[in-house]
Amino acid sequence: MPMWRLALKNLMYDRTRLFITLTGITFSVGLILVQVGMFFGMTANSSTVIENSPGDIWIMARNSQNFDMVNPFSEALVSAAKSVKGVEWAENLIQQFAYMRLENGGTEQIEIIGFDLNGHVGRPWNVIAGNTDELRGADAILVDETAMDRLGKMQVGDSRELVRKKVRIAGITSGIMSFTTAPYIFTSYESAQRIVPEQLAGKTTYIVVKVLQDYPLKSVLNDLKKRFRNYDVRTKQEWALKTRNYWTWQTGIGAGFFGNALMGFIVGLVIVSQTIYSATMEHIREYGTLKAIGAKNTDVYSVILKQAGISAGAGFLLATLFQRLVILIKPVTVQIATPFSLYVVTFLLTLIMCGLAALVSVRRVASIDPVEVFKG
Amino acid sequence: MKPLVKAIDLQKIYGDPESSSRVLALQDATLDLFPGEVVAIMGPSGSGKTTLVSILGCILRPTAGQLFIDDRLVTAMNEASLPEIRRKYIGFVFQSYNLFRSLTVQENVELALELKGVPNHQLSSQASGLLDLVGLSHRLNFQPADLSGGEKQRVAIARALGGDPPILLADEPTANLDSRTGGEILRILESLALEQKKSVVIVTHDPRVEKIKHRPVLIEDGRIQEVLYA
Repeated sequence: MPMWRLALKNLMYDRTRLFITLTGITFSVGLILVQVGMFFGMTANSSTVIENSPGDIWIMARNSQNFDMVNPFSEALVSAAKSVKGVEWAENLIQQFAYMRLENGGTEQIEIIGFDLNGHVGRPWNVIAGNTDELRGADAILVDETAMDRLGKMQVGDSRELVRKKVRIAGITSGIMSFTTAPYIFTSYESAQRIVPEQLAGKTTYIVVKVLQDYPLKSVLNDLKKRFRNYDVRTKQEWALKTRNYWTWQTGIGAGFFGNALMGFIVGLVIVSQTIYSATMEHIREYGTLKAIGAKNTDVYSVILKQAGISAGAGFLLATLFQRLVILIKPVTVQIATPFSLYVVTFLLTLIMCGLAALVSVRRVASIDPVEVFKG
Repeated sequence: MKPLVKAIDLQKIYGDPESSSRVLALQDATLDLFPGEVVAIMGPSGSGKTTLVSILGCILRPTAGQLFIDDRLVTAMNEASLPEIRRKYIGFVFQSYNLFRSLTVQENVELALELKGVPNHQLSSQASGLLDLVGLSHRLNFQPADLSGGEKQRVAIARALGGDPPILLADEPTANLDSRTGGEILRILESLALEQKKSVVIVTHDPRVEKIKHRPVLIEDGRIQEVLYA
């Protein structure tokens, strides 16, 4: 316990230095939490429709790279999918970029998700006003509340012009965002085809297949691949991963976010190294005394490493508060994911950062000759 | 009586022994330390006093010679074994006190006790007892910065007594103290030798050492000139 006390009290001996240390760790680790959280939030958006849809296998045009960029193909092919042994159901689903005319006369790009109202796939979730059944009959849409900044305020019952077609707002969803930042607009499969007839008349962009329970998925997948030789056939997980990887690595966005996080790590490392080292130098005679009165090298190292550990723990807590503050004040259109694993990994990174920062000091302390403390 | 510490022909050369710039700090130093006595090592600056006490304290290795502590040949031990010898046998009192600035008086002593292996639940009571012994039971929660020089040295003595080591090595313990306080510190060290049967070694220039019962050891140019028995 006294060793812990020495570590803690040495750390707190110079309050200004402690403040600098904790500020360094807080902003460095906070930057990591925010950057990586934003990255996870954005990449989760990129596959959100896939993840939130039932169905095990997705069929799409050949060489499709991500969920948002796919070419239409004949909707009649859904019958071929349904006829494969082991298929419980197969449904068409439309994803199509279009534009909405704004009240001020301008236009804004949107992303239409057209789904079978009697089916399972592509249905909106988190509906906070109106309901999906209102999409039946006349052309109607559900729009997400996060899109209001771009598309203007809307309420259930309002009307807007989508491409050249008047549509009614049938409902509002919450927190459904695309990676491309073009707002998702949910509508019926038939309405989607009516809104963009040039591209979608008689066409779909996906066929989503559900495999019968207890039926081997791999077998159905292989059969579908044989039947849809000129198309891409992927499991739900494969397609979600391919979409996320596309936006992460092929666009450089992942490198950008992780680069920022790495910079945060390095800046934190340098600040913490400097402050721990200056604290060590200020108490160097005391460490020599510790050695002289019988402390092993490992005892002395442990004091410095404990200081690094205490700094890491306190800095991480403050960084978490900082991240929570950012989440509170961020625009609604920015999503910051906060999975528990992010905190675990970031805490370990913080410990590693502070541990590495302490190494320079440990090396210095290792070189102290206890005989020096006899020199008055 | 059997000596607790036996130093035989200790030699210490700083720098490369083959080099012309080498410094012969100690040569042919032979000395016995017995329980219950105060040995005062005296001599001019640079004569080798601190080198000798550093070797006796096992924080400096001699270039040649043998050092036995409690019949254990410590000069034959490897580096990793020496901290245990220091914990078990030796308490240090430094000229500049070398207290831990961020800790209170009591915490300073507790830290030394922990290093000596005293169980956690006994740290507080043992530290209080040692501080009481040196007359500082009313300063337990003071910071070292708030103490006088004499009080700091008393804390250093209490810390050195942690774990009840049989040998106390004090390097110029009165150098930074006024005459009255220095005398008090010397009397405390004397009483530890007489009452607790510790071997107390004091490196000093202080003439007040004459006022306590001690065995003087004179050292000059790295050689023990004369071992005078009082």
